[in-house]
Amino acid sequence: MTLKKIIKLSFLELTRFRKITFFLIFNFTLGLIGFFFLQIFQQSLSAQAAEKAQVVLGGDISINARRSFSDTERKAWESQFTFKKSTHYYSLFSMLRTNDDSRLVSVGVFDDQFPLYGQFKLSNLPFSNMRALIWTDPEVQELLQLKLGDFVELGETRFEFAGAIIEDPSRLFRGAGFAPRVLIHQNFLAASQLIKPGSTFTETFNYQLDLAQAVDVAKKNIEKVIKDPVVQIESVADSAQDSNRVLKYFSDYLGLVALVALGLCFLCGSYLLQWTFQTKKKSIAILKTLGLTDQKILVVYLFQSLIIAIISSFSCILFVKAILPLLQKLIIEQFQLPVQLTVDWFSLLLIAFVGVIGPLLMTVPQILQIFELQALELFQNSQAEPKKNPFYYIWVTVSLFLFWILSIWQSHSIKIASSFVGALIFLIILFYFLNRLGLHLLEKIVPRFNWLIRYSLRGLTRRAASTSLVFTTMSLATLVLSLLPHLKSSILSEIRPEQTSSIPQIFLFDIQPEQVQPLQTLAKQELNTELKISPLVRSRILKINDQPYERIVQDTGFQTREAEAEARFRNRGVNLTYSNELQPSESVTAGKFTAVHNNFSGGLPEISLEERYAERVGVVLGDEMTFDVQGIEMKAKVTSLRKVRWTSFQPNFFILFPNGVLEEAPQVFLTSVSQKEGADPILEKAAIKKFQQAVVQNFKNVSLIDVSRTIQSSLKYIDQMSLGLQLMAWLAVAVGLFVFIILLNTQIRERLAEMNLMQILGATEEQIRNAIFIQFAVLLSFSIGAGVLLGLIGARLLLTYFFDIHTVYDAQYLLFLGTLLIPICLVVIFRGLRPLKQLNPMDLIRQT
Amino acid sequence: MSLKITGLTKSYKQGTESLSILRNLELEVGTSQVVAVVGASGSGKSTFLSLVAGLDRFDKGDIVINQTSIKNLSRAQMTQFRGENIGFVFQQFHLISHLTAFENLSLPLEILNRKYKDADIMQRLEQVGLGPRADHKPTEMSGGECQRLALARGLVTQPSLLLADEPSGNLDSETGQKVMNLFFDQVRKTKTTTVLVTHDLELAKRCDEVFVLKDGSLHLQPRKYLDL
Amino acid sequence: MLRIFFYTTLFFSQIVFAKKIIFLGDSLTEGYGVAQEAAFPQLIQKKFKEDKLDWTVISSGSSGSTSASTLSRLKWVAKEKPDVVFILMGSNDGLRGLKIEETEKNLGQALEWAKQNKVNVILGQLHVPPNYGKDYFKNFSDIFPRLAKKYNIKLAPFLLDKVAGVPSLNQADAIHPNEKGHLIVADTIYKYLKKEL
Repeated sequence: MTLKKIIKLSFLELTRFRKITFFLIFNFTLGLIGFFFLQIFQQSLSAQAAEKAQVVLGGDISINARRSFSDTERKAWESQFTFKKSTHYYSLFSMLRTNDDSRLVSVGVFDDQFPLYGQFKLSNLPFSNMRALIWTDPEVQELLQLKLGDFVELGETRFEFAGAIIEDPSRLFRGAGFAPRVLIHQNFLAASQLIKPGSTFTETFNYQLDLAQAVDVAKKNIEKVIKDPVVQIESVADSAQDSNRVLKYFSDYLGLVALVALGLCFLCGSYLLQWTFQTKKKSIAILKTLGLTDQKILVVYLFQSLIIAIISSFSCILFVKAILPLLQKLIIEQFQLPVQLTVDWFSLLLIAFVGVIGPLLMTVPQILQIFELQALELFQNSQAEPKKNPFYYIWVTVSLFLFWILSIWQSHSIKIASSFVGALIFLIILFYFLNRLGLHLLEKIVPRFNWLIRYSLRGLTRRAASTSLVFTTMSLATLVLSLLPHLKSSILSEIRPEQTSSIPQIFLFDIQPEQVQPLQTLAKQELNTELKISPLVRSRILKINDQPYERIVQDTGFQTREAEAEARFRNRGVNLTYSNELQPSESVTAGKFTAVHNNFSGGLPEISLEERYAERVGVVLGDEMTFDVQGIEMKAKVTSLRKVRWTSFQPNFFILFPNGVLEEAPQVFLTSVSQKEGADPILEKAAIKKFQQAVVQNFKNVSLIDVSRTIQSSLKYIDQMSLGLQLMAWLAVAVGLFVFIILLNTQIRERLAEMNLMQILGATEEQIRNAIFIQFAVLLSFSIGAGVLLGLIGARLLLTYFFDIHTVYDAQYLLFLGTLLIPICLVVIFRGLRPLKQLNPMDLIRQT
Repeated sequence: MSLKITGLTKSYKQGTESLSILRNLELEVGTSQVVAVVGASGSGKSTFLSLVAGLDRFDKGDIVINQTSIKNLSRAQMTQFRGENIGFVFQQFHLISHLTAFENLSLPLEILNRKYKDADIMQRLEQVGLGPRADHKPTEMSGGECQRLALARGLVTQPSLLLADEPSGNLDSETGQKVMNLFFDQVRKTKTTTVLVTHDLELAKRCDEVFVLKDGSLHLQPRKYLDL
Repeated sequence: MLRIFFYTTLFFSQIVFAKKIIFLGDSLTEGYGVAQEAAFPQLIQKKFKEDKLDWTVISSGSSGSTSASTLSRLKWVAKEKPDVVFILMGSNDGLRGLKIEETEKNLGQALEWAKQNKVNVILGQLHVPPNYGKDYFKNFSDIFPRLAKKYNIKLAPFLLDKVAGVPSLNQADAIHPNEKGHLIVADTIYKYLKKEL
């Protein structure tokens, strides 16, 4: 038989079973579309996140130090990698002067290349070196009442005011400084004489690499030539990873969702192929009796899968390409999510791989069955359960391996991929055993019921393999449905404060003890509120459990950058505070918080540490810490650990003393002012502004940082990311639901012949409907129950051990899931039962 | 008279054309009589069976089974009537694969809500030689055993009419022979009115009367011609 | 009643009969980023010991503190009955660009109190880095001699002399001296103290 004939036969088979062929193509296409969208979305969001990281860092690689670099140094590191563009800038503090006033400003001295990523948004004149121009933050303009063309002095140079800084990409997520920002061009730095011996400034070189992927290698090579530990070398990877937990959570989550979707697609695909194989078995047996060898049947069968796979992939890509512009519009206009949905070669390759290789791989178990099929046996009795031969296990291993590779590709992490695949295997095994156990119990109690229930339940218990497959897949799909939204809600609650109104607008610090009361009075007067003013006591940690804590530096200096960083961290001193209550953003995770120290108890003061800080300094509950509070040694015992939600943006401290210990120690106070809840935001803003002016006038030493703009822009970004999380979760939920519906449909189809027979035997339609209904009600409630339960447990585990954040269950969603799943199940079951209306027992006679 | 068919006419729409399958078909089968209906492939045997079983509507004529005309029965009534009065034996057995022989056999009684004793079922199994196989599922049984079970199921409700569709068609000749011996043995013993649809003349010969389905109607075939 | 904890601690430290010098300052005095033993007050204590001088050094540095806290902190450390209080306050005022008059007023209030309460004070000269501009640099630096003259107290030289602006003597932030820097600071201050005490 020639290849041509094989192809012809394959097509003949496909058209003969055109209903099934269509069904398969339809399902594969839908599954692929779901996966493809997730993939595109993930890629686009990651790209955007990476871009954001580049914008925040100002390049792919940033090298900076609080000193000047020599040309030799620069040339040495620039020889280590190739780059497209570079920018060189300084930042420093200086006094900006007008005729009658002066103000501390943070000066950015940039060249023409800055920024390498992102853009400045400046009012009026664009950034240029035409003449000595200066751009300032709006608050500077306001405070100094600058008009275009006004002159201000910076160092030894007069600069012309050229406009306000509307958006400075480099300041996203970077803490607000003491001073507002001004920009000048580097050409005027020398004349200003800002940088002289003794000046404090940061010099930075940023690079845009030829190959953004080469950033890690470049960083390693640069580290080899830069020995000076004061030089900081940062890459986008670090900046995406460390500086910004939001991005980290986000990319982890995205990876996970895409993997889950992929897993579901595989599972669903396998199931579908196995299911259709049962239908085609007879046809294969006929081919066998016609004398076709196993090998040729295999080729025919593989070829059919290939055709289906290619058509599915092709229709999927066509569909996605067609719908993408529409979706893009929707996402930007409806959700205001500035994500550029692009289909890159990576996504296409992945879809092609998953879409073509996937079904072929999934065909293998059926092919193995082809070899085992005995033509005659088939004609006599078509219901034998497939036996597993050794190749089956090889196939399972190979598939898992490929899936693992794919997971690594998707998540960019061997650890994540391995845990994921491991968890999947574990879950499948778990669900399998859960199912077997459930069936066993069911079988035991079956005889107690009337015949209809007995018959229905036996339909499940006696079809253990099929039931188990459905149960496992369905449970996994439900698990996804129930897991992801909790992850989403937990991440959201971690990165985003619930009430925007409670986010501080300004921070005040260096408040002297005698200023606390007057400040409260002012707040009462202007803001009609009482400020939460926290004391700050400087101290050093001398000992932990009587072991010296500080690092004494040897004459030889530091061996490594890390050693120096660790020593500086330990020697830096800590800010203590005291209070008799926890803030709303704090919660005790271990031990018990002590509100007031009893001086007569003779015991040590009982303190509370932030849990991550405790881990960092290596302290556990019950440890004793010795502090030096400005010349006075004091011991305290750690009796509780706290979790602090830093995104509350409230002033928080690592070490919290109870009242009654530190009141007399030298201390200053700090506080924050936020908008009152429920108040008119515009009025509030005005009131805060007025308060701010009063503070500047009456409390001249108090430093004030206006964080509203910084936090607002960060929040905007977090909001967009949150929306991304939501959309991804819903996409995954959609994929899960899809799998769910497919399973129900196929299960009902599987029972059609039996239902025909039942009708011939005299069972009424109602009885048949009831029987099917009972089966699915039982199957669904068990698998959904198991899925939801394990989803809840899984969410807890993942969040605690993988994301390391507090679990926040989304109860509303659970309720919603219930109200969604129940009607969907009902609709699907009743839709699936529709063929029963036209049950055609004649098929039993005609089927020859 | 257990089965009386008068003027049975049935045609199918195929595109715009109407395809006439049965035309004015007449048949009378007396109580306890066993008749064969033979015919070439495509002569309308399946259609004939479907109509007699009340699985499909006919255009004209009437079918009376056990003094009841099935012409005007609703779908639900027909289902009920069929369960009570008609037994089936299929070429493909059509047993429920996940139920044991015992359960397969008792299922029709359960569906009809008839009381039965386990011993009765066992006895019926033994009658078809499946006593030791009571707890086995069809997947664990041979084709012959399956068909014997199907036969027992067809008779378990004590139907007024047994419709058998090529019962040995799926079996090798030796097994087929044995099963058919049992078949005739059982229907005769239980005095069940039976219509056997087959293309096997040897089987047909063992029936009381043989009809040939040709050009849409049945023709009684004198026994002497069968011997030719 | 709750103050007992601090008072008792202070009481015990008073039993020592040596002469006492207290450094009242900010992060430079605290030895931000270096171990306590490596910060200049402890290094000076060592030098006193080496030279067999009967002086006890107490360091009261508080990172980030500004001149506004000078008075209250001076009152606090005065309870130790020091023989000399070496005031090194004002750097953070300068770094944060606070108004010159404000810094001068704050320091002046503390010095006024010291005078009235007969606390012997040495004022340390401080500077801001030159990038703050010529005017601000000069105005800031001028505060200290003016105050020293006004209250008739000793003015010590700039403690970061030969240290400020030298990368090898400072930590990565280019503001706080590292261990080597503190050695030089200790030398500078000790040389001055030896002469003056």
